[in-house]
Amino acid sequence: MRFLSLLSLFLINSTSALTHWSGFEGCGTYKVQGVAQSSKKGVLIVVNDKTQSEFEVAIPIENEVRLAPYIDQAIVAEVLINTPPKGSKIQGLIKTIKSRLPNPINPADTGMRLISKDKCE
Amino acid sequence: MISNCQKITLFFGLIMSQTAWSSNYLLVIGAGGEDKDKQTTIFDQSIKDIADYTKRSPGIKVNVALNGGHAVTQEIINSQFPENAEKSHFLEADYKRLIAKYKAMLENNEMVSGDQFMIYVNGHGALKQNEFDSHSIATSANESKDYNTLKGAELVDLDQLKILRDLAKKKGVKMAIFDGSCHSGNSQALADENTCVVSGSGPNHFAYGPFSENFAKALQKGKNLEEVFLEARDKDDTPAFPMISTPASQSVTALLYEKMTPYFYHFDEHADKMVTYLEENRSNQKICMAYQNFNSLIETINFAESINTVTSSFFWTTKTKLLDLTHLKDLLTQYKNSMEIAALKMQELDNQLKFDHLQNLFQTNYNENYSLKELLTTDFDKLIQDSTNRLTLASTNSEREKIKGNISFYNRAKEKRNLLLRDHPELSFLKDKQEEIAKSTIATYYLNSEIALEERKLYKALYENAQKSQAPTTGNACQNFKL
Repeated sequence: MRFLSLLSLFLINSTSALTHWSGFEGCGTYKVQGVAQSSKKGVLIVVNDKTQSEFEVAIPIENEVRLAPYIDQAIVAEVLINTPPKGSKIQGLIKTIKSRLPNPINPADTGMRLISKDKCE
Repeated sequence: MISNCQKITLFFGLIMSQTAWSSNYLLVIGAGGEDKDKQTTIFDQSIKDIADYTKRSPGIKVNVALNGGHAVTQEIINSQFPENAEKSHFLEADYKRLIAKYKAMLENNEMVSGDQFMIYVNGHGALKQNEFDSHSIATSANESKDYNTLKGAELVDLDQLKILRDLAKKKGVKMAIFDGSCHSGNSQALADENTCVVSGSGPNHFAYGPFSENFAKALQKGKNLEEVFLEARDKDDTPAFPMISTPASQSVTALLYEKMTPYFYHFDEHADKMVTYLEENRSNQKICMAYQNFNSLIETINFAESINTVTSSFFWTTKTKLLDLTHLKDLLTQYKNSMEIAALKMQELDNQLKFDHLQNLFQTNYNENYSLKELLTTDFDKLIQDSTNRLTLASTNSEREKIKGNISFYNRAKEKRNLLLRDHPELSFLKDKQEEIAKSTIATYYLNSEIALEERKLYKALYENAQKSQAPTTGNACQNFKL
């Protein structure tokens, strides 16, 4: 029983480590450096790809076509986040996007930071 | 009682002993990232030159980590460096091992106050990445074909040398880092008041062999590193911007580097910066900024000429230019005009690729349009496949309708792309067209080299002026590092 509890605790924490982003500093425009990916979940930006701190930034379905030309490319985008993340789910609207030079040493050299604050909806 | 004469003898004796006791250490690393099948590396000449320096420096303690399995290079390493020099490969493990070794020597007081420690780096260097203050260089593990990012090569960052720099300062060991690799201007970040850093190029430029070779040749007993640097820079005619961490260099670099940056670029199919530069500077606003940059550079040149002009009065006043940079101004003007034409051609290419009449078809739900470049390079098949798979997972009708809208958009875009490529097959050669424009400028290695030779005169004049304006007591690590 104790083993099972420990195991489930470990699994819960592992999952949250893989998906949780703790950098939310309020609603506003964030500079996001990541990789654009397409999957069954949709077209989205993966930040800190293939690391323990990997997380995804989803975008509204109708906004996905803006991200579509950058699939499998390293990108830097300005993303408007106007609702606080719900758990591990971060959703934002792409304002600008362009390719960036990926880091050859550390492909996971990506991140997300607030560049201008705005009101939450 | 000690007589005055004895005191003087003792004093000089102490000074002489201090010099005799202090040791010089040299660590030579690099030569990685080259084609495994080659017998030689492009660094062979500079390896010979730094080896020659060790021959004329008796007692210097040498450690060489350059070996990448290239037979001729290996032979140079074995035959030219002192027999007692430690020699090894240059892989990540070697780099870490050597840092640990010198760290231990500093910690254990095997290297002591008054000793001098130089790290000579020459190899392929990458552009700076965000997480480092300096940049990274290739080890011998793999080859890279991309001389900007060094993608494919095993890289080690030079920030790891900070631990040696900090320990050397703490222990009073004078330190110098020579980085002759591409983009080595980034290594200036490793300098402090105890560590002199010399770079073979600016942070945004490729470096070329001759500077490293000239630097090694100029390492002669009695000179300090600032003198060695200035001598090597003066002889160098490569389109790079060698730097040193002296206060004078910092002030000249702040005045000149950004302005000179584009004038060292030319198209090179193996190591190119020109296409990227033109892509990033093709808008009207950027063309205007380049024009302002040019004017500012001409002002700086005029200033350098004015401070090197002698006025004499006899019956009338005459002005004699001791520094005439007219040729440099001519070359820069020709280059600037050519770059403007290229930027306009890039704009024209953009306009062709916008295909405004297709606007309605490719307008997204957010009133943005796909550029033709995006239309041509997007993998619509994958997007359609992924979106179709998503339809089964969609939980609401509204979500399904939006996904269907995207699928419809991707299908129409794909169809239009196929039609465009059928009617305009030349569109599939976008990259070729950009390269064609870059090649059409007058910029070549030889023109850049001619500009570089003239720039050396400008740099020297500004450097000497900066030295004069510094307080005479201002010391610096490069002057303090004496051979």
